Amino acid sequence: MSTDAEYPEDDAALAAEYVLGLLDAEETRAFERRVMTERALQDLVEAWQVHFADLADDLPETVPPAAVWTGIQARLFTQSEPLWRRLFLGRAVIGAALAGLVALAVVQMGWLEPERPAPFVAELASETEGQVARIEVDPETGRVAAELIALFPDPGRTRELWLIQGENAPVSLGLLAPGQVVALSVPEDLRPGLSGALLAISDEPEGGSPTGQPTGAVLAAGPITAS
Amino acid sequence: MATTDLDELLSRVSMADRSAFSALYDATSAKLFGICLRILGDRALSEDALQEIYVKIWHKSESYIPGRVRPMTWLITVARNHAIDVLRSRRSATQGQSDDDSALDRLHSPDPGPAEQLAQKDTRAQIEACMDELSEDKAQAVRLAYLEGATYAELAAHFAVPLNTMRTWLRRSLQTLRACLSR
Repeated sequence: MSTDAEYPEDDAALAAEYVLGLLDAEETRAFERRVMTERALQDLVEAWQVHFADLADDLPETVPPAAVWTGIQARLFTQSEPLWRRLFLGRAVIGAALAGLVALAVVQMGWLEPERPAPFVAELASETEGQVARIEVDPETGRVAAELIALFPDPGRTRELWLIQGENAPVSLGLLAPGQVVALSVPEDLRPGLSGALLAISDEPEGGSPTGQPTGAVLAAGPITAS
Repeated sequence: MATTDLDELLSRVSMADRSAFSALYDATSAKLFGICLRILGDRALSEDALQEIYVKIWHKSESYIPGRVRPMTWLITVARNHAIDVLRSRRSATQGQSDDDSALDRLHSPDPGPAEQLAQKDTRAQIEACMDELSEDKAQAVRLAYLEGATYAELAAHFAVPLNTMRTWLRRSLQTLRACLSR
């Protein structure tokens, strides 16, 4: 492996051919095997990527039609990707430097296993907005993965998630974050009665309800059902 | 939009932050759509390609390492490679990289290197100046390969030279370009 700042001229051209996609399949594979281990080649490839991308950077911009964005959202967000997986990915991403630490944390928090399906789900809907939040619940561990997907709070306000079992008073499960999956948990004594219980979202001041009970409007609700 | 803002947006997107994704789309879609139009030369194809590109950006944003290359370089590379893939699959060419899971996406080394230095400065004037130092047909060959996904066979046909000659000639041009860019 070479760490020289000077590269053989052939490699400089080869890296450029790779970035341009001029190598045939066999040459591409051979080059990619070398790139995995040769730092100097990686640097060459990145440098070419940067310079060639500069060629495209000056092209005239054109605003795409709105339908493109609608289509992207439909593609990404209407099919439900398990929230557990998104939670896992969100953490996995914290950075290459933290990778070891993250792996350890994930092992310790075994419930983050991405492939493990959540037994219970709830789709919280409002009359005006349709689906407002997606929630997954594991009744065994009490773990909850929750994502607020609409009715984002105004500045200074927040959205709080409540568990309502039968005639009992609502119990706060925590605060939701707009557009993000958050991990919450159900207190142990409430876990047996989760199936069929209601989840609801209320509008609350920043930091959550000061009283322990919903103080603002209830925006959406839905039952917990087996997935 | 400044590099640091785009860095911030991309790292939030990698944590599945939809509002950051929306802001990233607003800030960058006109540029990436322009690239699709240039490469594909067809509006409907470009709209489909742009959709695919942002789906990829959403799924692959965790492979972007801040500080390694400019965020716009990463986005342009994803867009260009996808558009070229579309173009080549339509031409059913047999050469070339099969998809854009290559290069930038896979280079995870966090150590600083020459590319990191490139990330810090604005290199845009450099490539134009160095392309100007190539003869006109050689600069055109480089552009045809990058922006139109031309293969060696197609370049050879375009310039009416034998394939091996084409390859020797372009490799020499790339070496000249490299020497200029390293100055």
